[in-house]
Amino acid sequence: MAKGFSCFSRLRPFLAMTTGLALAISTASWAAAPNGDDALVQKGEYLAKAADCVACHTAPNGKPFAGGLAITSPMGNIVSTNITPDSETGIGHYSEADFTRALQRGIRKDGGHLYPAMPYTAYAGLNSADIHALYLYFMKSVAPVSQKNQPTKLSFPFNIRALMMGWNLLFLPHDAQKTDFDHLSSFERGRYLADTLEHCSTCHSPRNLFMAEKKSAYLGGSPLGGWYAPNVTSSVNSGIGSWSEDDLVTYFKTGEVAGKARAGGGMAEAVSNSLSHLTDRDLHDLASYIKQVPAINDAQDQRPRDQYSAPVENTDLRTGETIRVDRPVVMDGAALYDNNCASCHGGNGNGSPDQHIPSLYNNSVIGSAQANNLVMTILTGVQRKIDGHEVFMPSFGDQSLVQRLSDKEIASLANYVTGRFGRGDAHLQASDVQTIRQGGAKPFLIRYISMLVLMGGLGILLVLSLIYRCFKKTGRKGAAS
Amino acid sequence: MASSNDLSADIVIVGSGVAGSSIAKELASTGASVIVLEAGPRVDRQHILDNCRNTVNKNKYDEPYPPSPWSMHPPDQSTPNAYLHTTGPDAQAYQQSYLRILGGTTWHWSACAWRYLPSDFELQSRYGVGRDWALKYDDLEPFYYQAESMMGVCGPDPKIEDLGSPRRQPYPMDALPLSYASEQFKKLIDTHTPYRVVHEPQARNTRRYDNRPTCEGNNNCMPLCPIGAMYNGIHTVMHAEAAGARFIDNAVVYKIETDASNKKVSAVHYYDPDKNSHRVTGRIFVIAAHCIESAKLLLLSADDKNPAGVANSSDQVGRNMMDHTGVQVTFMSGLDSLWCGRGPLETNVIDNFRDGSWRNERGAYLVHMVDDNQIDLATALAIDKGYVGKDLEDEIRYGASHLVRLFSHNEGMPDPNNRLTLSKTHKDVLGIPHPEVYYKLPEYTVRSCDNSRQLFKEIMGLMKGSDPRWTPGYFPQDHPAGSTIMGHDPKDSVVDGHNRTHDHENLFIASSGVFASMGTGNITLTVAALALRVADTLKKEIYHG
Amino acid sequence: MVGYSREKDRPFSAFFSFPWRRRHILATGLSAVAISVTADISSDASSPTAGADSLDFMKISLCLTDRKTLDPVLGKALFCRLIGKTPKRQAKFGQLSSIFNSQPWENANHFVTTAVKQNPDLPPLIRDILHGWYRGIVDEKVVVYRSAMMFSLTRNILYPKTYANGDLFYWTSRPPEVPLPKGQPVMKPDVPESLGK
Repeated sequence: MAKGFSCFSRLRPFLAMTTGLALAISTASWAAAPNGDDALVQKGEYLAKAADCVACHTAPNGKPFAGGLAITSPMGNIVSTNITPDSETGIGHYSEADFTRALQRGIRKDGGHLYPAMPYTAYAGLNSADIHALYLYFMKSVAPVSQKNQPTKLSFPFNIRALMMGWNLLFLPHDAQKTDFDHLSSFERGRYLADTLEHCSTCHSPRNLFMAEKKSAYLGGSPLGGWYAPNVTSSVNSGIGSWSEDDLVTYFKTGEVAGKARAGGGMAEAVSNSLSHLTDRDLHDLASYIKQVPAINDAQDQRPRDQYSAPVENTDLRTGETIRVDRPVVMDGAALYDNNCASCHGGNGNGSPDQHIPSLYNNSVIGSAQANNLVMTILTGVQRKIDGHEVFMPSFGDQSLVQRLSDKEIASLANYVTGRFGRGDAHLQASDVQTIRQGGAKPFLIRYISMLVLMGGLGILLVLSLIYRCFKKTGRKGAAS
Repeated sequence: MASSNDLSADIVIVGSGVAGSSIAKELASTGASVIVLEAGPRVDRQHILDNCRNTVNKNKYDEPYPPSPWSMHPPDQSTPNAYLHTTGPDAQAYQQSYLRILGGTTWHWSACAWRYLPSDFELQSRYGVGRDWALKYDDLEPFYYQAESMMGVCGPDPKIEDLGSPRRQPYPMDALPLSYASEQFKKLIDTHTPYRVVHEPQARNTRRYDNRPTCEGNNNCMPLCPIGAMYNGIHTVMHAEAAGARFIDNAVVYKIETDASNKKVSAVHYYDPDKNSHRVTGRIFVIAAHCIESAKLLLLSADDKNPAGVANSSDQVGRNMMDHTGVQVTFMSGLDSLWCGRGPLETNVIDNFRDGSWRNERGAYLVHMVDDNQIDLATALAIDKGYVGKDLEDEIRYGASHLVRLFSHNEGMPDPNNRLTLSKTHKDVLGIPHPEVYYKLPEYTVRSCDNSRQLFKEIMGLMKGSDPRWTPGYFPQDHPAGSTIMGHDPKDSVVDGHNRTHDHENLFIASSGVFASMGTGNITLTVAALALRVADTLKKEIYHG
Repeated sequence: MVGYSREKDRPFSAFFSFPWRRRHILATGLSAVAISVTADISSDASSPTAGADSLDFMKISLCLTDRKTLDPVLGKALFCRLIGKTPKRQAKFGQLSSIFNSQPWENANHFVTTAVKQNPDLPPLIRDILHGWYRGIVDEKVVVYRSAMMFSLTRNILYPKTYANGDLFYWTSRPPEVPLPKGQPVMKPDVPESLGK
């Protein structure tokens, strides 16, 4: 009980907003949880939000937590599973121990191995009391949905789930947080939020040959299914060192900081589903932690990615001629910009005064050294809904109802936009756009797996991994001493 | 002139505009095979936008769409008789503008999405004039809503502003906020006259809808919404393609072929741009081309079995050509600055003249204060009035903030003498005759126009208006209808209440050609609703028929 | 056959077009790159005379618009379309230049009043120059759209059609009040009888 109350007080700001409705729903719908558990259930709900479970475990227009979302990975699509407490199709039959094992070790109740699209390497750090709260929340408060899981079908050899045993041996940490969420110091809470719950590094840290996070380049930026999760270390020019803690908190809450950055793709989802639901205090702890992450500098970054360019007027000299509709001319980057972007972003890239249409200069997507996010934004648009406020930019990809641009057109357009509003012509080719459209460049392991297999690569992998493991241990000791 | 005979589908549709594409989408979604034949090419928004910015007069909204030779459409309103030839005392009032490209004429439209009033379907029974439709408002109501959902229509809360057409559901989107100018106009009319200004229902996004953005107020609905916030038929084409319908562009249908019994259509024939002929067979055929083109095709298909043209035993194909006729004045308001032209083009409407007992003798109409950007007109006027330098700039700002344009759509009336025929003198590059229309304005419409002129004078007085510039004569509103008129009696109508031709059981017409009265407000929503109702009929036909 | 002719009064160009004979609509926003005219406008003209003429063109344009700066890129394009490539205007332009260069001028009104008094044939050329700068249109062709100077006069109030970069639902806000201008025309009006549209 005592613990419950302290948890309650810790979550008060959050609870004040949501208790009424959430409790009404959870208690009215299914068997009322014992009173003592209510606060724990609330805590679990908050932690589930912080861990952003819903993002992956809900299909588009699907029921919350019922799974069915296809997550693109370099190995193929991994389909998320039903984690509602339905005992047939969900996790209703999981004991707390089963639940813990899945979260922390990536092993299902039936013994099958999960793929690390489920960030169990991050959740391995979860405190056992926090897992208890999460378990109570899922079992008592989430609505059971009867929905069968769709099978995940990866290509050989990745379809052999048991392979993950070896991988886990190498890359799965064992050090869970000893203190529960409510009793962590500010710094520890920030770290716990970043590394365990929000699992920032899952996207923002680059991966090694075996597709495990490179600890040495922690939060140093990584390609991600066509997108690029940028460097968010404290480097002024390469990371977010020029951001204040308040800037970061504003970004977490709203997905945008005018004149700096706006969340798109996976980050937009993380803000909508998770970060914007955290308390101010937690966001400050998180921001403060992120701000002290050691800088990873890239010499080619001469200034912060949100500090490129300024509004530039140009005179729109025109031919005064109209072209027959069945004989369109090939447009250059400037014309593509004028006819696809300028209606909203302005001839000069200013955007709107209220910045509901953002400026294209002082824009981290366009000032970035990687043009991935610019290309992905053009391809998929932007859709972000936070507190009922929606930000939307239409897609110019192959399903667009507004305009479908070819790879070549997108390359020209992106080159023009980076040239005019960013750090210079990105020199993209149509083939680069094609690669990004198809989910980005494939990692080494995927590109060469067939060869590796032929070479009896799995054996080699094992040897390599042993060496790696020794090296890692030594490295760690070295770092600690 | 080679002929290929490998094209066949359950449903064969001629025309890819709102009507054709929505039937295609509905039927393809059920798994039926669908082929849509479009005379014109597939076009890209970005190229049209570029054309648009290269045209001098942004209000000549056909100019950014220079036609392909095999799918000619009227080039623009100031180049009459280049494709559509009009004759008769009011020839100029029937120089319609339309497009023959994939997606159809809603590439450029104002997106006003009015439902007709129940009385519009019963003009003869209620007022003793004109004709009744072979269906009633209630028959169409569910399809109106389906059309509104498909297109994404915003409109006022019926509890606050009842627009006279009963609704079972609210509009899919909240009404578009009025511009400052429209708001002032509304206050003036609501306060100082017995009339009212309402929010116009529009197929325009007031929030993200169908993965298209919210309106940004580009004030360019015609000739083209640059950002896709306004509904265009091409959106439904894309959805239909995703559902499995096959659209063949540059396919100019020139003949409808009937079987030996003449009870059924067996195929349609089209030319590609090189004049190779192709034959397309199917179970059910829908002519969903523009009102003028649909009638043209039926007439063009005349043969021994159908000497006056297909579906024309009544001799009504091509007759009863109607439109909304326009009255328009531009003047300088003497009130505080309005700055018309901020936001979309048409948002406010005086709707008091859509219906009334007077409809036994004069047509209904609706009035817009057009929210059209007047800066270019203001500039041209100020320069030509003789201002220079600083005074010129002051004059431009004053004009841009005070010029006001009023216009009305006035109701037409079916008259069999207003008739579309095939030109004997003009043919296109494929050898297909151009359409020709004889037009004399019905007195019913003329009296309606006179009435709206009086109203405009009254409004100008209220607005302390000066320097009025009336558009001379009468001009078309590009809402042609009536060419394949609907009715119960096969002797005096072309289609029945389900848009099925009286003559051929598997031939349907989905276009404004079937309208039996003009009503008020733009015709597109009614065209879409009728098409969706046809789709409903076809589903029953192919799965249970 | 039909009782209307395109050239004369085009009653139904009517609807949305107004029967301006020579010139027409549209142009757009603000030439922010305005730099001091004399700067380098003449530098890249091809012949010495063209250079001198184009410099005169910019100076006359500054005077006609009462502005201190004009967009040199647009200036060059307008000079080329209006004068350089159009022999019919060259003689008139020579006359306008010589009047312009004959004395200093207080402002546009002063210059135009005097010029028109000396040569009553000059107003069409003066108007063509103004239609070019303000509307971006020369001889019924678009030279610039968004960069036409009229849009600089309505910046952030009325946008060039297709380039509305305002706040969400910007049109609901109250725009500024514009007082009745006190200026007078300095040329005889040459406005089409009916606006047509």
